[in-house]
Amino acid sequence: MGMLADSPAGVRRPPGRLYLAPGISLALLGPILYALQLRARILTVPWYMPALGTAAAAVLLAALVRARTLPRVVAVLLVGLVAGAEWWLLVWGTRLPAYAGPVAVGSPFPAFTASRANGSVFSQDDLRGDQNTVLVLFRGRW
Amino acid sequence: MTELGELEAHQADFARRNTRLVVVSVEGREEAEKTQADFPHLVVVADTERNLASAAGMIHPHAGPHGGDVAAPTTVLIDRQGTVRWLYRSASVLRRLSPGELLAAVDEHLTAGR
Repeated sequence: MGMLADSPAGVRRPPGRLYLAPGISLALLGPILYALQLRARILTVPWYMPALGTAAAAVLLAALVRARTLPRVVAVLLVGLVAGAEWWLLVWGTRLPAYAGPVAVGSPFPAFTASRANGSVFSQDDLRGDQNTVLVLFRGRW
Repeated sequence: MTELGELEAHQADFARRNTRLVVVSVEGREEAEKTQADFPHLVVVADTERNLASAAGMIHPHAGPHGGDVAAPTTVLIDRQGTVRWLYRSASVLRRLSPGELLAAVDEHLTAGR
């Protein structure tokens, strides 16, 4: 382990180089796919991102096992940290609490007073009328 | 705004079902005006005092960018009599209903047989 292999030109390169490109590619693939997903306006949880990051860390670890070089150590640590952060974010950091009421199917919407964008009042009375209502509480610029 | 953009883009499908889209956030009035200008077919409500979110139990404590309370993304279907017919809250803030999913819910809970 850790021995350098001779190439035909006599240049000694560390073994396991074939793992580097796939490892780095896998690490980058997750965020790229998520960017494409968002561009396609698909708002689902990108579980593939930390999965690909974990796979990337494993592949780079295989490269590290074959030759312990500083760049490979840095790559494994970096990719591993990013994959860990991605798992944390998806499992914990973006979690929403389960809804526990008081809004209930079959009951009126609770009384409230808010404002429309033009400043006029909007209350629970405005939920009754000629049309059904889809009420969406949104957050941020998502 | 992907979620609101998708709703705006499909507003005709909701209108065909005699259903309007009311979108609520706890942002200020100025932000709400900008949102209304960007999405003219949506009814934009500024719940600045969090009256609506609090009354509905839809506050997500300390989840805002500076630790403040914000609304937990939730979708509620309400019929013309003001009665709640369906409610959806994802387990993740990253997951939102697609227009297709929302229209299917409208068909099932608001317009079927009515």
